[in-house]
Amino acid sequence: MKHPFQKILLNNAGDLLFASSKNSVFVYSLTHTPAFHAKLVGSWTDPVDPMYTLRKQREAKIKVLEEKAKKEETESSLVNDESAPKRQKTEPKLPKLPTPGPGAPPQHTYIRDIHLNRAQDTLLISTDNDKAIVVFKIVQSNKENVLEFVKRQPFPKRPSTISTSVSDKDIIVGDKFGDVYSISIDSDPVDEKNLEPILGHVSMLTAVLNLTDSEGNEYTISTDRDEHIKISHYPKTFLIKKFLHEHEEFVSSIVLPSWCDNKVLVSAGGDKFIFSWDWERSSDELIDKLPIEEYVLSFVNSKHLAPEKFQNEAGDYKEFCVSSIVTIDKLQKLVLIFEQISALFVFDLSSEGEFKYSETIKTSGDIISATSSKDQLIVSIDAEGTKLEIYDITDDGNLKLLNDQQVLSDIYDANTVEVESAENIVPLFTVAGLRKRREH
Amino acid sequence: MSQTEPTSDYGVLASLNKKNDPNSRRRQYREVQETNRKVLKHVRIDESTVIPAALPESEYKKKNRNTPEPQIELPKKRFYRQRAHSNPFSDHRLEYPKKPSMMDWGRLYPAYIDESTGRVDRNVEIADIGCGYGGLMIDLAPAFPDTLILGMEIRVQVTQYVEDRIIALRKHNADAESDSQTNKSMAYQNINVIRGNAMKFLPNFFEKSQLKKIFFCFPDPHFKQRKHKARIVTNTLLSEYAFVLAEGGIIYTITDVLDLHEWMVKHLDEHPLFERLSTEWEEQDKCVAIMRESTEEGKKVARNKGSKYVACYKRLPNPEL
Repeated sequence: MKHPFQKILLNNAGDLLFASSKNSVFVYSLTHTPAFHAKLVGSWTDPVDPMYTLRKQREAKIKVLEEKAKKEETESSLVNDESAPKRQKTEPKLPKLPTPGPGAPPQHTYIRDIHLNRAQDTLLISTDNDKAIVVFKIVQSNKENVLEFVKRQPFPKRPSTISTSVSDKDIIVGDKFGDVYSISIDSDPVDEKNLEPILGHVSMLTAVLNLTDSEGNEYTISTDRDEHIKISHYPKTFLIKKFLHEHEEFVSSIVLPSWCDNKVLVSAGGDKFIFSWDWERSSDELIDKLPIEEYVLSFVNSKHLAPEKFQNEAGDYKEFCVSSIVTIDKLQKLVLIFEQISALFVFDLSSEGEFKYSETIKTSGDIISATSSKDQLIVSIDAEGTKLEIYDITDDGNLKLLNDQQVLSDIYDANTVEVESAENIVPLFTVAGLRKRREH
Repeated sequence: MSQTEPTSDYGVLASLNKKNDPNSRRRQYREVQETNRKVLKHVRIDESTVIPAALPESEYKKKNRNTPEPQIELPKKRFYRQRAHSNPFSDHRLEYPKKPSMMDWGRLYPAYIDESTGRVDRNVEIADIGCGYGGLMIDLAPAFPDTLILGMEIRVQVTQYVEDRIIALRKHNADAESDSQTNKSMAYQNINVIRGNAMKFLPNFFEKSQLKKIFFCFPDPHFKQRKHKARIVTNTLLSEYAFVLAEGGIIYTITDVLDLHEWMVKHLDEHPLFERLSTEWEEQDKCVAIMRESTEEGKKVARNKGSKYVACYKRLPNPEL
């Protein structure tokens, strides 16, 4: 069975599709004329040792033991040899590399996230195992493989979101522990111990995004599991501009739709609303807060039941959440993707930031990931094996499902990642787990 | 006999955890206190609803045979036991407003409610982060009689102790001191406590530049290297403290742990929005004197003849962008 694509990403021009499958990423070139055609032009498989962290911990332990032994040796040589009884020299016992026992949760080596810089010439990948960001230059002229490895930068904690500064010179990384780092895109990798966070939350970061205001000042927006949207000056991130308060559950996704001229920020997550913000205004930043429950409710199913411990007496309490927001620039629309729901929810967004429900498009399965270019919307579907749905964004304002089996099978066939069973598939739906469970 | 698998009636009794014993003195005491707290915390005191004393009824009768006057006693610390640490990263069941403007301060400072608006007539300007048993606030209250002071504490039972302590102090002083115009005592009306996680939710309570003083008294040292992010002073958290602190506002720190003191000084020194105040300044500042002498931790350190390390920092103006 082929592994599903856990994350897909189109470039703005719509001629490159990046798709990650377990610990590999595949790059397809999409041509639209004369006929729609997909061709594999690059790929990369993470060569990282699955035991990376354990091995590193073991090496650190051995180093400590060696230093200790060395210290003891120099100390004993200082003592008069004749009077002191000679200590039996014993080889220090080396720590073993732990092996997971039976029943241990499966370990996955996989690509967590992929991101393109603003110039669309650099691909940023975050890995799970060694908590690193891997940087690639995209060299379209290179016929063998468009991905050209630049560097691998490990981080102290697992990166959960990636972005770049407005100039594209810095990579902005938010981690699971709430720290945000900024590293130069070009410099050599640095020791992760020497990295200092530029700003922080005391909560897992769900998104970071740099943008400029109408006067050209740059800011970093960072969002977390604790309902916060924080806006800090960049690069003087110690100076917080403001917080946007209105969410009552985690924030999972923010976008800055191009047709609103950088002025409107849209956010969503665990709330039963989507929010739009005039983020630059000095107060009353909230523009619109649209209830979304009525559109989603008929799609909510047994997969959305709250965990037993937090369930109601009837046992029918269900929760849903937005896992991502995709912008359709050509139509000035937003597509909301909900965790484990088999439909696309389309909303109009005016240039002033007001929402209006447009339509719901049923998909053939739950949506793992979605991405858009100027002409197409592509979604990755949870199914047996790899599955995509490709929609053309038509000039008359519709999303039209393409039924080009040749293109789809060309894409699927190039994915060489096979798994034995569903157990070997990496976690595909992780957003609902961000919901806070308050116990004491 | 196994405690987990009782084999006889006696076993059942023996296995009853002391903590869950509904007849334990601690449990009874806390239940009475809780009832009183509920009544007294959020509304102006209606004496008829107050259970006379925060003690089991039988004890109350014994003790107060000759004093029919109902009275609220100062809470007893031994009934509020709690572990010394709380994990600031976990999702506690906390109450916090969605945004500062939605915080109902009148619940905490009813004596300052402006009748015409129904809201308090001034903002909280002093925050004691990790206020513990509330000693600092209780000494700050008379020193800053016109300023609202808020303590934040993450441990539930410690917070309840401070609440009960403030309720009792307000009541005891109700007759001692009274404002001539409104004819109500203002003693200890300007302090209160909330259970909260200041590391996560300070911006939910306070607007930008709202605070004049923030105290960090004897914070949890988190000795282990990998716990250092849990410390209350880190370079990233300092930016949030700077956000809620007015220009010229002051951060006060005191600890008996040299390593932690050096850590706080290092991070505050490095932060572009803070500047250390001189020892001469510390000598003349009344808050430093109160901070050295009044907290429970401070007294404990003094009893054990330990050292106390103080560092105070001023919030600098924002730099040019």
